[in-house]
Amino acid sequence: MKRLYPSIVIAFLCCSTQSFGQNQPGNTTNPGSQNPLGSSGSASGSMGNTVLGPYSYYFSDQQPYDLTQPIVHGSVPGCADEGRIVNIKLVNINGPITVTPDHANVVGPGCPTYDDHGNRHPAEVQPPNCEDFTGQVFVTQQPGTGIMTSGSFTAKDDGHWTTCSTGQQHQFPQTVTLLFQFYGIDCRVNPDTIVCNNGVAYLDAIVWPSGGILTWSTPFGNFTGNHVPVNLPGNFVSGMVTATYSIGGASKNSSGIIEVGKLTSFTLPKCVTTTDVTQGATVTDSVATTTFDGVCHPKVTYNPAKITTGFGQQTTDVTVNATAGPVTLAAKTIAVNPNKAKSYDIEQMNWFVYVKNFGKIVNMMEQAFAFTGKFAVSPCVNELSNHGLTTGGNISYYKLCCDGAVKDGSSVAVTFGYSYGQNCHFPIPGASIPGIASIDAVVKWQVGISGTVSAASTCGKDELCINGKATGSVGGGVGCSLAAGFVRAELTLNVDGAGLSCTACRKNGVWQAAQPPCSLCTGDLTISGSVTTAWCVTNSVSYTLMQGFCKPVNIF
Amino acid sequence: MYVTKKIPTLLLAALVLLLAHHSKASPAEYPELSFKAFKVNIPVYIFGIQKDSAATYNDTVHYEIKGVRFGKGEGVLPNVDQPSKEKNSPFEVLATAMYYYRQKDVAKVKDLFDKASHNALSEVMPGQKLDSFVNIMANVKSVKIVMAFEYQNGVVCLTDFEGMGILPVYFSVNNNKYYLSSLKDNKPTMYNIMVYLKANPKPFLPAKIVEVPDTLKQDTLSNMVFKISTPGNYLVIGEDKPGTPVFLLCKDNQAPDINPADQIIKFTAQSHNFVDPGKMHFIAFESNYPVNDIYPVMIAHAQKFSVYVKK
Repeated sequence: MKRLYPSIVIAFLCCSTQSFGQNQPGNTTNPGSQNPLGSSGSASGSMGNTVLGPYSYYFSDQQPYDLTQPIVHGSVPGCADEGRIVNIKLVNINGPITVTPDHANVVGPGCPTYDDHGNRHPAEVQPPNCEDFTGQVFVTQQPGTGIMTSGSFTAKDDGHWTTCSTGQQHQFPQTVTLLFQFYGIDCRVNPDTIVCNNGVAYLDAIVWPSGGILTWSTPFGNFTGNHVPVNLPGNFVSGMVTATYSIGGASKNSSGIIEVGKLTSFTLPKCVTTTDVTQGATVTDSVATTTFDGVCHPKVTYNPAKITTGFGQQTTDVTVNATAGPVTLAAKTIAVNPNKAKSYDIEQMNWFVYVKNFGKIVNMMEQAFAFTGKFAVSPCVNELSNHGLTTGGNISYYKLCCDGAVKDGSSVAVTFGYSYGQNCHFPIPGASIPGIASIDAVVKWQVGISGTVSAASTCGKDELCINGKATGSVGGGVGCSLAAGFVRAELTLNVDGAGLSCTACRKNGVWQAAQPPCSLCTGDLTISGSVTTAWCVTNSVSYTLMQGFCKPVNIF
Repeated sequence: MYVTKKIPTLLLAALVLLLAHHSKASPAEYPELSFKAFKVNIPVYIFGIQKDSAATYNDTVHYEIKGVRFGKGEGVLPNVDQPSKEKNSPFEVLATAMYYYRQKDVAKVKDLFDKASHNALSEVMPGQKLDSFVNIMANVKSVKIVMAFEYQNGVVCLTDFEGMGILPVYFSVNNNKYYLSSLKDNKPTMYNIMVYLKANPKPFLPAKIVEVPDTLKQDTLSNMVFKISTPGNYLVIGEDKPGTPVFLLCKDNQAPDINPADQIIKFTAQSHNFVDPGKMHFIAFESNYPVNDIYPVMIAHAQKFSVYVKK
C-alpha cells in the first residue's frame, strides 16, 4: 500500500455491484491486515459484500497528533452499494483534521487477463477513475480527551464503464458514501504512585471515553474495573501495575507503581475514654496516630487491639504495640472508664452551701411578718430549722478523659428539702379596731425550699443545676378580747402564701443568673371579719397589717 | 286653838303638792339635736383605717356628713331617774335605755328597739353575755355623745360609755320618732370615723436620739435609745422613704421598750433584722397613734439618722 500523505485519508473502493466473477476481491487485498503507524492497531473485516469495519487506528499516546506524519489508512475491501462505515479511532489529536480521499489507493474492480500461454491471471485491480471526491470533515479536538465526532464523506465518480476483454462491463457506482467516526481514547493511572491505606491499595485510572473496560495487571493478580481496592499481600514490598483501557477495539495502557511505605512513628492520646469491658472497649485503631514513609501505608496490627480499663478500674495504664511488616513500635496511654463511679450517700453532703441566700429569705419573711417588735426582740419562735435537709439521692465521682488529660468528674442526682419557719404570737399594738380591746395575732409562717439538684461533669462542661421551689405558708389566727360593749368578733387573719420558683445553674464554677429570675412573693396580711356591739351594730372589719411584696432574690 | 291646828296641816299639804309639781315639771336636758353639714378629714395612715378609695385623696379620707359633734363637756346624756315615753330624739331614747339598764330591765330595753331588730337583739345578747353586758351598763356613770350624724337612712350616735370606750348606737326614724335599731354596716365610713375618734391624732413630733450605733452587726445586739415628749406615745422608726413600711412601732413602756422610765424608749437591734447590708437612712418620730407606713408628713417631722448594716 502506498503510504498515506499528511492527512487522514480514508481508503475506499469504488465498487460496482457486480462481482468479478471468478476472482474474489478478497484475494487481492488483505483486509485489515495493515499495521498502521503507531503503537498498535487492529482491524477486522471480511470478504464479500458486507460492511466492514471497524478499523482502529491510533497514534502513540506519547505524542499529540502530528499533521506532518503520515497516518494510517485502511482499505475497505469488497464492494457494496451501501455506504461503508469506517471507524477510525484516533488518539491525542490536536487541531482540526481534514479528511480527504486517498485517490491513489482507491482500487476498484478490474478485468482478468490472460497471458500468451493462455494462463488466466487475476484481474488487476485498477483504480477507478474516482474523481470528484467531495466533502471534508473537520474534526475538532476536545482538549485532553481526544475527539469524537462523526460525519459523512461522499465520493462519486463519473460512472464510466470499464470493459473487460471478456466483454463484460461493469460500472462503478455513482456514489459511495462512507461514514466514519473518530474517537479519542485516554488511559492514565492516577496517581501513578498508588495510594494505600492500611494495606489496601486503590487502583485508579483516568479513562475516556466511558463505556470501555479497564483491566489491571499487578504482581499479585489481575483485576478489572476502576477505583479497585486490593488487599496487598503481607510480604509485598513494591511492584509495577499496568492499566489497560479498551473500547471499541482500541486500547491504551498506562503504568503505575506500588511501593509499600515503612511505619515510622506510632502515638496514642494521653488518655482514652473507654466503656465497660464487657460491652466493648475503644478500638485501638480509632485512636492511634501512625506515620509512614510513603503514600502506600501497610496494614498495622495493634496489640492490644482494644484499649480497656481493668475490671472495676476507673483508669488503667496501657502499653500498645503497633506492627506493620517488619517494624514494631510501642506507645502508652491511660484508659479511662467514666462509667466506673464511686457513689456516696447524699446524706453525707451538706447542701446548705448551695442555697446561699436562704438566710436572706428567712430575713425577708421575718421582717415582713414580725411587723411588731421589728428588729427588736422578736416574739417569734423558730420552730423549724432543719437546715440542709435532704430526702434522697447520691453523688458519684468518676474520671474523665478530656483533651488528653485525666480529670475528675462528678454527678449528683438528689432531691432536697430545706425549711424554716417561725411561730409568732404578738399583740397588735394599739389595735384600732373599734370594739376590740386587744388582739393577739398568731402568725405562723414557714418557708421551705425543695427541689432537685442535677449535675454531671463532662469534658468542657461542669454544670450543676438546682431547680428550686420555695413555698411559704402563713397561717394563724386572731385572738381578741372584746372591748366592753362588744359581744362578738369574728376576725380572721388572711394571707396568701409565699412562693418562689426558679432554676439556677452553676457552670464551670460560676453561678448563672436564674431563669426565670427568682422573686419571693407573698400576699397581703390582713385582718378581716366583723365586730358586733350589744347595741346590735355590726361593723365589717378589714385592714391590712402588712402589704404583700415581691422581692427579687436568687436563692442559689 | 282649833284654827291654829288646822292651818299647819293645810300648809304642809300645799308644800307637798308644790314640790310634787315642780318635780314632775322639770324635764331632762338632752344634748341639742341640731344637725348641720360638716367634714371629717381622716389621715389614711392611721393604723386601722379601712380603704375608701372614693373618699381618699391627698393621703386623707374625706367624709361630708350631716350631724353634730360635741366637744369637751358637751353631749353628755342626763342620768334620768325615770324613763321618757317620748321618742323625739335619739339622745332621749338612749337615756331611757340607760335607765332601764340601771333597772336591769332588759325587756324594756328591747321594747325601745324597732320591731325589725328584735330578732337580731336576741341573737346578739343570748344568755350570759346579756347578763354580763347588763351588769356593765348598769354601772356606767356617764354617757357622752361624741358625734351623731345621719347615716344609712337613720342616725348613728358614736357614744362614749364611761369605761367602755366609744360604741356606735344606731336609730331608725319613723314619723320623727326614734327607735333603737340593729345595723349591719358594710361601709367603711362609720368605722373609719370611729378609728379616727379613737386615735384622736395629734401632730407628729421628732423623737430625740439618745443612743444609736454607727453599725449594726450580725451577731451583736446594739442598744437604741430615744426620748419622746409625751408618756404613752409611740416611737416610730422607719426608712427615710415614703411608702415603705414602718420598721418599729413601740408604745412607751410596752414591748419592745425595755426601759421602764416614761418617755424613754430603749430596745436592741442587730443586722439580722434587715435584709440587705449597707448604709441605711432612718427617721424617728413620735406619734400618739399607731401608724404602719411612712408618709411624707412623717419624714417632715422626724429626726433623721443613719446606721450601717453589716452582714
